[in-house]
Amino acid sequence: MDDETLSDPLLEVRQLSKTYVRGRWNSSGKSRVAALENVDLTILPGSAIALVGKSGSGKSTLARCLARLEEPDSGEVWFAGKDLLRLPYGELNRMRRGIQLVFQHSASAMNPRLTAAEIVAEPLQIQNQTTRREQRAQALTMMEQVGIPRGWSERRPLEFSGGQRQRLAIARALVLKPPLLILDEALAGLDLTTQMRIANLLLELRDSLSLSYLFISHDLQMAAYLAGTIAVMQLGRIVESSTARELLSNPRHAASRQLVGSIPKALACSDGD
Amino acid sequence: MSLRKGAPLAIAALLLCHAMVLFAGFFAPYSPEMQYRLLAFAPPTYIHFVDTQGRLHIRPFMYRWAPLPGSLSEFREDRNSIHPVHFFVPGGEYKILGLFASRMHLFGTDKQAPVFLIGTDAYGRDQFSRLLYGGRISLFTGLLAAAIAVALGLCLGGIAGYYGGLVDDAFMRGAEIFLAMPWLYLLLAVRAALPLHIAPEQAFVLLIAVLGVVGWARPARLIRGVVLSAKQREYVLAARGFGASDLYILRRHVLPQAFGVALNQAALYIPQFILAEVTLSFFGLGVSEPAPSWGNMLAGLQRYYVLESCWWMFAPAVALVAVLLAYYRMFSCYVLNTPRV
Amino acid sequence: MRFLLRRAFQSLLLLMGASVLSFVFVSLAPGDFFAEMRLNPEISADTVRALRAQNELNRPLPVRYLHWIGSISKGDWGFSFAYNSPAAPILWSRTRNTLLLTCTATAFAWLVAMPLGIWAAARPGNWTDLFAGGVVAVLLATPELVLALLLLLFAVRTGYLPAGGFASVGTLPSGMWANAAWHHAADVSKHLFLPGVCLAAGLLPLLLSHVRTAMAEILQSPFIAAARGFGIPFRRLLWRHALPAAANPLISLFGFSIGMLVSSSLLVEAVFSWPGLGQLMLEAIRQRDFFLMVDAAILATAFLILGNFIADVLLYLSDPRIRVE
Repeated sequence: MDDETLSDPLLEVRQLSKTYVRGRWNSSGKSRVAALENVDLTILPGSAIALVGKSGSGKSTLARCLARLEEPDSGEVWFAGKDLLRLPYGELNRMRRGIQLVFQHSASAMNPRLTAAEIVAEPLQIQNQTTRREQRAQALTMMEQVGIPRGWSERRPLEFSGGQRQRLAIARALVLKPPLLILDEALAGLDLTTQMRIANLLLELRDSLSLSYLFISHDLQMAAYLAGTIAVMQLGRIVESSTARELLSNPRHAASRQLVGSIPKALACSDGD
Repeated sequence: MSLRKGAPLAIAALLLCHAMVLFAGFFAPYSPEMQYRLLAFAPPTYIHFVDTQGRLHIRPFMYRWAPLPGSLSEFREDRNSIHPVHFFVPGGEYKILGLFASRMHLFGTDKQAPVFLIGTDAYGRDQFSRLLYGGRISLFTGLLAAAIAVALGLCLGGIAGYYGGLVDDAFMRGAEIFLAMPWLYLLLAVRAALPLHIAPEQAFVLLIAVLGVVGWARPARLIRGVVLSAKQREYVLAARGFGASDLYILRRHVLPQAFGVALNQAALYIPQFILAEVTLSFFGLGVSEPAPSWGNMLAGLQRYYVLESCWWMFAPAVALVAVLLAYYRMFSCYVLNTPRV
Repeated sequence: MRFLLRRAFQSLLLLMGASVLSFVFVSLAPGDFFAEMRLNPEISADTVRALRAQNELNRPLPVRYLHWIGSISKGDWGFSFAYNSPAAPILWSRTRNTLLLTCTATAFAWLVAMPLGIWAAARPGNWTDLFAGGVVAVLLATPELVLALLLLLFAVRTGYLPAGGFASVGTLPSGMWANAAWHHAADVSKHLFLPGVCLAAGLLPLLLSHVRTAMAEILQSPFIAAARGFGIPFRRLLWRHALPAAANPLISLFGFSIGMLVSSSLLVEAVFSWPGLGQLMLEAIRQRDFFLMVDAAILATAFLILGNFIADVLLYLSDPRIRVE
């Protein structure tokens, strides 16, 4: 990815839409919820973009659609010169290593039966890269890089604290060396000190691995700390997108103003959720 | 609770039981179909160590049963001659595991005085030998049928839970119908699809199939639930994000969760299916004469004469209760308490 | 009310499904009643063929099924070849007998399980609890078949109670039982006793352990502790506060127990020659009496589904939360 110029976008989302239909085929009351409506988003290599908004505004749906864990109804997702939504199954699975996701609930994002080393090595195993031994070695290196001692490799996820588990999740996401990392509320639910430590780790990793971030959060302050650009979502649309500084000082859209206005409150209860 | 303590004992007893019925040919002194017509309903043979002159014998011996004068069904010991019990004696030919022919039996006596550890039935057949050979059918029907039912449940429930949608709806409605029928009536209705009289070798296979068909619904429903919840876990989503195939996710993340439930179901089914075979054979709808099964051995008790005066005909019932107890004890200690993550 | 209507509709669908299932399985059977008739030299092949055609045994399966279901809705349950009579009257007397047996057994089992289970839960570790535990363990390990045979042995040995059948034949009423109807009732209840006890004993371990667990759980809950703090006497607490709170799982258990009972009554009926549905089903299978087989299976299923529906109604009446939904 080094030879790409800065102006070439790493990821480009065009007119992405997704509607959820509640209720099954045999039930009478169906309801439709528009989770994404004509969303456009561009991420440049090495940049970090934050996506903020209230719960239910469609942030997580966007993240999952980008990783194609959910099927959008229409639109395009261009990544590394290809439209992810129109790739055949096999090629998609090879492309997937380029975009990795870190989930909010680290406890449920890991199979409690596997050991830490197995969990981190799993993506390598799925992508069938190198030998078992080599996979394990890579996993251990990656774990050290995110600050988990080698000696803990045989522990199971539920033996780790929330912050350590999130580090493990980051290690798992990065082991395939993806250019883009999507963090879906990855810091929510951690205490403030841990949040800061992991945020700093993310910044370090961005520099050492030349990563791009899509940072999804409802916490505007943390978003501003981590990302240069902030996009505000409301009811499935991106209503405003500007630099962090400008958004904090001069929010234009009502939704942004509401978010900015609630910062002190957000500080007081940001470890809740 | 004291339940825990009994588990090793129960396992040992079950292993012994299964080994004995599996090698029934060796442990049983006679073939299950060998008839001593003149010794119908003979009571269990007494094993003696002291003879009429008060001499002690190292080797156990027995007296021959002789019918009371003027009666065909009452016997007394004929003390004129003693018949020592020998061990590892050659006798009637049988096949070990259906493969190798052998004549070696654990114990036996001479031809004039057959030994009946738990008496004989209406045709003068040795109950002990029949108990062993019959246990082979009764116990292994339960074991194999449970395996088949759970395997079916695992497949169908797994597919329903994993793919969801119409497949799920179709399978689960089907399962509900199976579960809505009273179990024995369902069993009989499915049994009715087979010919009334089946050769013993076929009966074994067909019974297993019938029980498997009848029993798929409950494990399928439970396993579907497990798969459904496992599927929605974020680590499954994460694995998909790494490009994992359906097969990989099933194998690595979904099935291990389901195995606990499957094992649990098998544990519940084994005793139930052993009983089902016994019940069907009792009604004459399972393994039929002359081949023995614990069920058709018990069927003799439906005659009041037998019920009242031949207590040894209850032997299969005793064996059945013992085996069920051992199974319940074993499972209550291990399977039902297995930690579920 | 919508809850009950939906449940009723679902129950009906289940019954239809079960009818298809049993119809298909029973139809798969090789040979039929007339196949054995053909062996009889006095009946010509043409007669057999005509009889089969008359009873529509040579028409395709779906047609026969629809015809059968249609005639049931008109009250015609088909024809019993073995009895050579319409199936409905046979079915009615059998159904009545099975109902009599299962209702008696249900009453027996609950009458024993409720007080014993509640007291075992109220005083964990005392003799009632230990006794209940012992009963559960022994009965759980004794299959109903063995239990039935033992009770039969008891009847045959002692002669106190009739060993089987529905009513004695040809005994003259005398003394205080001079009234014939009374005499008959007493006679039937004597015959009913052993099969009823056998069925109830089969159900008992399940009921007892569930009643005990449900009550123990409620008695440990904070609201009972609070009520105790108000100084409500323990007995009153047990019956007026804890029992209604534990009612829900017990009502569901009632529905479930009906299913078990219907199933095991087949076995008990056969052993005690009680002329109920189960015995009829067995007879019908042995004689390949097609309509009796499917009818008996459907009626038994209907019992089970009806039992569950009654449990739903009770649940609806006892639990305000369902009514709100």
